[in-house]
Amino acid sequence: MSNLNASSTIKQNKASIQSEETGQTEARLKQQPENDHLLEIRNLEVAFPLSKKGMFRDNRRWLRAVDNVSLNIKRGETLGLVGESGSGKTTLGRAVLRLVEPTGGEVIYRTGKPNPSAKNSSGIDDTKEIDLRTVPMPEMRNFWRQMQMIFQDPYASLNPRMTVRDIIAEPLIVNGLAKGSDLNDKVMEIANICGLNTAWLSRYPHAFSGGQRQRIAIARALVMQPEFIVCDEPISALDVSIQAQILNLLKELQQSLKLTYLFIAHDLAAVAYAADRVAVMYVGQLMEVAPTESLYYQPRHPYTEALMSAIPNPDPDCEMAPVLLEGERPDPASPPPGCRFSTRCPYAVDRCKQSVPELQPVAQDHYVACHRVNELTLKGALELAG
Amino acid sequence: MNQNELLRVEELHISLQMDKGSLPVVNGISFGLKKGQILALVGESGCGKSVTSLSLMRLLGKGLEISGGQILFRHPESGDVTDIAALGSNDKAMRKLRGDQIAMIFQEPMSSFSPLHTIGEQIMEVVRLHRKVSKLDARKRAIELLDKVGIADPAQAVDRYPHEFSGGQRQRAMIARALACDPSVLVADEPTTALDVTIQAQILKLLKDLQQEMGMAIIFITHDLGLVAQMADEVAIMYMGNVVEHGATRAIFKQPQHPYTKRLLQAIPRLGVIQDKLQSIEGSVPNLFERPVGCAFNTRCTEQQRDACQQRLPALRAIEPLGLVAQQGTAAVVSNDVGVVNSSDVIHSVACHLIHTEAVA
Repeated sequence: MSNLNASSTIKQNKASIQSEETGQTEARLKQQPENDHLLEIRNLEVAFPLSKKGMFRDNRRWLRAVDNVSLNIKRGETLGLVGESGSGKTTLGRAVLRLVEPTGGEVIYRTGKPNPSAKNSSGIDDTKEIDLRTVPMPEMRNFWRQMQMIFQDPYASLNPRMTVRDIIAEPLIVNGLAKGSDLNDKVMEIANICGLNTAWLSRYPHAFSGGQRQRIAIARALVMQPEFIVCDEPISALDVSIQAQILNLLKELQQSLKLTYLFIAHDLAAVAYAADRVAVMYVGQLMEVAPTESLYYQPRHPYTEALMSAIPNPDPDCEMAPVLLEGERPDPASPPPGCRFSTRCPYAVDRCKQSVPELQPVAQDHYVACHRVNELTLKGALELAG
Repeated sequence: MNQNELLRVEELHISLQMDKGSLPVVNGISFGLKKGQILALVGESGCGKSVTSLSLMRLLGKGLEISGGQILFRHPESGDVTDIAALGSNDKAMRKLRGDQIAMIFQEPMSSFSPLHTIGEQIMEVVRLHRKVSKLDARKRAIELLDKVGIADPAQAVDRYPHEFSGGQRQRAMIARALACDPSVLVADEPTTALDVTIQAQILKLLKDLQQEMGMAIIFITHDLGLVAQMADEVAIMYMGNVVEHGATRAIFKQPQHPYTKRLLQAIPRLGVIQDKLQSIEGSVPNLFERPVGCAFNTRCTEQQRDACQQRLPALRAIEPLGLVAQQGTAAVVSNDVGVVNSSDVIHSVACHLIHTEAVA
């Protein structure tokens, strides 16, 4: 699968391999009642060419920022996505919304609200499945109404030349959803919900502090009444005392508006607070996906263990004993042949360096990509801390 | 200045000079630093912690001036005391201290290296500035330093450019450069904020090892309370240019006294604790132009306030040791940790009208 420049026969082979893999993934997905999945990401790949295409030959090298990632997002949950910088978590978040174009795989989106009464009687409801990758770009706009994004840096994501009212109203105007007094009402309502003083709506972003700017960005995302929001490091640019406000706001909004979040962050303590399930990414691939409790306190992947051990504990009596990883993260343009983590893993054996481990279920909702998952006993966050 | 102190900051004022007058940024803060000690300056953006650290190196940016107070530095060998605040930022004496006795590591390793010179050249520059050594010896020293901070294959790495290093490697290289002349004081301004947790853990271990091995004193500037708990011996909590609470790490974390410290500790997500809702601090840090009259925290304080809170800035005063000892008696079960050793000789002081009631009368 490493040669994208292959001839057509190889491409066909690749396609068949991929469909087999998809088949396996689907079989795995069937274990769950499917209706609660808002999004199913299947074998998603985002590759960036490292050089230009030649005139006669395409011998480009590719950097796979996201490599064969399969992940479900359940309706109404917060799925945390953690990993080091450069692990591809932001790219994955953007690829789901097609803000960067995926180069392979599927993003299945279930539109429409599931109908509980229909589910009870016949198991059929009025949801529709759409592979977002097959949607023509002009039509993506219809989906972006339901799928929004909150960016990391509220100093960069708001246009300094627009008033707050215009910033929040813009999505409605662009989509032709409201005008006149209706528009104004909607903006006021959402500003209220997000804790913004409506008397300040005619000010410009520079007049606001970081926390308030992030509230504006949240209001802009919510004004479209989306059901899914990608939160890309929404609190990492904010002060400690403000982070708690924004985390609380996101949680309240989720409950009152029935939102689903993909919560990308590297602050592991904040993710533990915000997320229902957490996915751990390393160099473009998923290492472990599990409910938050299990992931933090009973991690099954050595990389997760290392991450958990490195969380600084705000208790001076608990001395940290971090698992110190040797060496450097591999270059995503030329990842190691076996498990991506094998170059730094303290438990790696020969097998790990040869073949790529599959993401396998080890418990209810708990998936791990590690050859030695059944041999290792790993420690969770607080065990190591004290 | 205390005999065993390397550095003593006394009533330091820093202000921003503007057309219309001057705006106080740091409001008379004082602290001391002993050999081999790690002092954490904690606060949110705009509280003056970075400005304070830059003033120790006399690297304040345009418009910022030390408008009062002293920064006393005791030369570890000769014992001579220099007032850094009284020197010009480009004086020979200051240039001699900077990078030699007092060194700094910055938050952004990418912007603190020149992209046009190799890492080796930039370390050698510091060595040759302060020591009379040949280029070859300086290069040897650079390789030795890179090895010390754990960079693989230092003999090769010394000739690489900053862009060829990863974020963690660059941060290590910056530490190597800061260590070039075995400084007695290292100022670390958010040294791990730009890094991932696993690399952060490596850097922290490195700093702690260096501190123990070389007896280096570290001023550690951060807003991450988790790091403070793990790294520091002593903590100063800053809010709007004032130290509002100062004490041994353990005292600050276990018996916080100032309402701001208390709320800050409650606001952080903690592992192993089920939190339905985080206790956030409402509002935000006021703009420097809109400094509240009285206690700077009075706009966000949820305690029952006194008149004095709205009228006068509370002074930083030691809290009654009796109360602390009584409380420590219960905590003394945990006797093996570092905090207790220090808490005996570090005075826990707080700037709050609600605690120093006699000040109100």
